[in-house]
Amino acid sequence: MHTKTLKELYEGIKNKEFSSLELTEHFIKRIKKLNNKINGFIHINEEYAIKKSKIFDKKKSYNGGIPFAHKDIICTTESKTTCSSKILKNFISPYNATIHKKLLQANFIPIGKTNMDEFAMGSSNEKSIFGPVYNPWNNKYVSGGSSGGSAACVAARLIPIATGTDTGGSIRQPAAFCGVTGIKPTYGLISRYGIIAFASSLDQAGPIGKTAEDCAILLEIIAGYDKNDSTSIKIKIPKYSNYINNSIEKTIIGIPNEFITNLDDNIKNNLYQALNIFKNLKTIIKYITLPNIKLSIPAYYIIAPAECSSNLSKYDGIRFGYKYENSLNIKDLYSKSRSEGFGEEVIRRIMIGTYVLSSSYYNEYYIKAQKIRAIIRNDYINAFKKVNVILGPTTPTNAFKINSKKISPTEMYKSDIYTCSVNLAGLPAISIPTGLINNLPVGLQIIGNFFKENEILNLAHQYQLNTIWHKISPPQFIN
Amino acid sequence: MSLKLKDIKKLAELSAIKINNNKKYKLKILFELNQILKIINEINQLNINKIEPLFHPIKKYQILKKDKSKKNKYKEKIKKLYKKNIKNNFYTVPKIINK
Repeated sequence: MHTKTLKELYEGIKNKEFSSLELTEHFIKRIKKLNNKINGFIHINEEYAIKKSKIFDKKKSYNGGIPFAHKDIICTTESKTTCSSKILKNFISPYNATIHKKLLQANFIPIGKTNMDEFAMGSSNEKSIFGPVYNPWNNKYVSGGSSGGSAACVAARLIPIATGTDTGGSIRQPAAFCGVTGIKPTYGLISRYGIIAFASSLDQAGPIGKTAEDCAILLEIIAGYDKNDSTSIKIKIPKYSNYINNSIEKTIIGIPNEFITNLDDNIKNNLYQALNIFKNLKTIIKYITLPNIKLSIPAYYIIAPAECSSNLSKYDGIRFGYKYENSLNIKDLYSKSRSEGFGEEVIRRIMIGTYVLSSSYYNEYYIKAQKIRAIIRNDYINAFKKVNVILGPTTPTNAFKINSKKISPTEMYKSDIYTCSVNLAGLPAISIPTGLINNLPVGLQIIGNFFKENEILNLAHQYQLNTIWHKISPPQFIN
Repeated sequence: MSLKLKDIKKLAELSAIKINNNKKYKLKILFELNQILKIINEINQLNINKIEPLFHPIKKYQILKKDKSKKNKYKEKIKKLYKKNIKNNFYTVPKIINK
């Protein structure tokens, strides 16, 4: 059952090949047996999941009943939401995130929460109080991050589908490193209500699944306007799972020259192989330019920490979360609760955010970064006048070894080079698996115009109909 | 622009973070923050004086809610969840004043 796609699972339940309870028990059994190899799940809600699947089976509606997992940044009332941080170690939300409510309404069965980089800050999933997530293809390598737990669990077939969040590449990069499919939708397509904020103008949730079709099915369920999120957008949600079957003939694919200059030879060859598949599908390939893309990393590492320093100011040891017990005064309580509750990467980003927002440097850094953001967005708008989608690598290399970037945190930041400009502009993008290099997966990124999730899912699905990479499981997790 | 060791204390204070007084640790933080500053200083490559900053990627769609107060529907749930912190219907916080 764990090798089936979401569509096949829907059909399996509908045709009474298996019940929701049987399916849920199958995945719980797999998690218990295999999770210690990857450390992907951090909370498992066995009792609740079994109860939900029994209720579903009694309903006899046969539409749903499929288990899923959330990244542990999404608030749910039935289990802890920790953001993989000591400061939220025992936090239970009094309300459900909108995307959780939507999945419950669609009869999905929540099995538990997945590991992540603390507060979604990281690209390797090594920065979690629950320990690192190990890449299911080779446990000496990182899973990518920050949604590394979700990507690794889907790759290891411990769960059919999971949610992630993406602030600078946190869905697409771990999806690429683990050999699965992950989509970051247009900013505002999915409600952020009940999702713990890192950088509010960049954060967006999305599905991580085995295939583009699985992601399309889940996206239809979780997308849509929500009055509880003032940045959520009122648009009609297309039936993505129907649209993906359209022909992609004459679609114009843009390849930015900046994405292939200085690109690792192996990744470049893999990209050209994928391009050949698209050429055979009669698309049109055009080379384009995104002249200011190199400035996306500096702009991102000003804007994201600035918003993070503001969003994380609520963790003060008073209202909720970890509290330092022997404080001398209120300032001592704040500062000691925060320094003991946050990990070193979070502290670094809070300090940088505080610095760039301080009155002496606000214009010098923060305002300038927002101007660069406007320039980058305009580069994309100009590119989309000439092409339908933009294609390139998701990451500059495939997964790196655990602890290999420990000495220099900024080395890690550079791995966001192809992903973070998409968040700055607010565009949708998907990463799909396109092969293996040294037995580790490689991802291809397809970027779409605003609210053109249907187009990028269409291209991804057509690629997957003509390739096998999305069907391959890591050897240790086949059975 | 780069930070000096004396700036770390001030920055930590503004961030409400207690930094270990150990000089070696402070130098480590200084090194890491200066590495980040080295990356972000690259924004000075362009002349961007006439560009309007973009604070939000999809600004034109924003829907404003009615400015009307609503009853907190989670009050009972919070009371139940954090029972040990609730006294006389109030959420209690640690005693700080006059300590």
